[in-house]
Amino acid sequence: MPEPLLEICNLTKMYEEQKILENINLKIVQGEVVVIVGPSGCGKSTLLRCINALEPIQKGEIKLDGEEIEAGRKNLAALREKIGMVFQNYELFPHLTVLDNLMLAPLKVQKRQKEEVRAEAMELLGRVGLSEKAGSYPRQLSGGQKQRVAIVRALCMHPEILLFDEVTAALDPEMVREVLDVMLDLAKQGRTMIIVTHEMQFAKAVADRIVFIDDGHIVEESSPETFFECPKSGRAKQFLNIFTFERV
Amino acid sequence: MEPNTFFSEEERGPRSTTKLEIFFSQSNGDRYLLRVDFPHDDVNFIHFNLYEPFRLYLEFIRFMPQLVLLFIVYFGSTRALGWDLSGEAASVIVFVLWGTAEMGDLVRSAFISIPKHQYESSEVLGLTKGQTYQYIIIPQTLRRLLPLSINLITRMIKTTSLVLMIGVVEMLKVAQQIIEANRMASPNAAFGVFLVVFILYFFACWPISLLARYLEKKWR
Repeated sequence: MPEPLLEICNLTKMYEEQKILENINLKIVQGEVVVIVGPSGCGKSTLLRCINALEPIQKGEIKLDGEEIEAGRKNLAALREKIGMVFQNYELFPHLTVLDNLMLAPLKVQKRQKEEVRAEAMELLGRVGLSEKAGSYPRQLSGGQKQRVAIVRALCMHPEILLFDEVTAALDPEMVREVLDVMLDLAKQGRTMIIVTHEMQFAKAVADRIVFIDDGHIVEESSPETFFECPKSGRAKQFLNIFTFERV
Repeated sequence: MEPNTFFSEEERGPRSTTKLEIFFSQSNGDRYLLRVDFPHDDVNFIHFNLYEPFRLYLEFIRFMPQLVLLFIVYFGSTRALGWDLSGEAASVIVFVLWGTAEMGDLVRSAFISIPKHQYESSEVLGLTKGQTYQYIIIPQTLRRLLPLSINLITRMIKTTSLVLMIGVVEMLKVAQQIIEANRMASPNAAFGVFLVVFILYFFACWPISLLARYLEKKWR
């Protein structure tokens, strides 16, 4: 087994006295796509936020490339450059054009050349079919377009790993597809990704591995085939049943 | 004073530095505080929370009619403290106190109206705290502040007419004097004179509102 890119050991996260995540162990290797599923409030989003040190953790450690990620550390910004994250709510910067949204961090954080960044941003925009929106403001875009721009913004930083936190949850059904297609495309390119989603069909298609979390614990970790066809745990069966309907 | 639980050792910086910091806290909603840290022998950091005094000041100024404030400063303070204060000076003091309080409150409300995910998405892109404020938070705050502050400024310009109540000769007073002086010669001058006053006020406020409209369009 190759050296893991991201390694989570015994992670425990608490709010006040309440345990949100307990004893999470997860290893992700280069190029792997891991989909995290589970009922609402089970801690999936919190897990992603912990990986990016948006939430302090109480126990355990998270390592990227062997370097520990921890809130308040000096090299946190440098580590965060390697982690791209896209949230559920479109969080583009509303006062900047699409192109400026994309270029801000590469220019200010990575201090790259303007021309080079612009060329790359335009190329990536073209790949998600939004070249003509470069000069638009976020409010002029649809939800799906905003999410595609948000994905491109993360890509412009050349991250080693991408985190997607229910990126399609706030979208109209028709727009879900265009965003998921972009993510499928990224998977084909061999990007390392952790995806939290409620789109089970998509999970099945994109995942190398499914991680099922319930009540702050990893209940099941298996290949998508095994997980969707014959889940090992009763809790996962119960969860998957939510998505199928009986004929009345 | 409050125990300093807000900041980790690293955020506080080295102990040898004294620093003064004003910040708007996201985590506890609407309170803002002024922080003064300096090294001390036993207590590492002294932490003043000026939230309560500021709030008291703000509420007092906001609930008081401007006229009452003028009276308090002009008649009240001169009597209580026995000093000699001109009407102009009293007006300046009142308008400074009033403007500061209201403007401060507008800035605060604009600041805390920036959603938390704007901070987070900037942070996850690797921007430092300073860069986040410089490129993301402050530009958005200014945009939100614009219509509110224009409203305040025009309101303040119009309120200057109140200072005639403490004997300051301002535009309205001069207009009255003109009318009084010419009561015999042209008894119906009042309409024309007040029309001129209206136009003058209009030209004081109009450019400001034009500028605001221009900026709003440019910054949209």
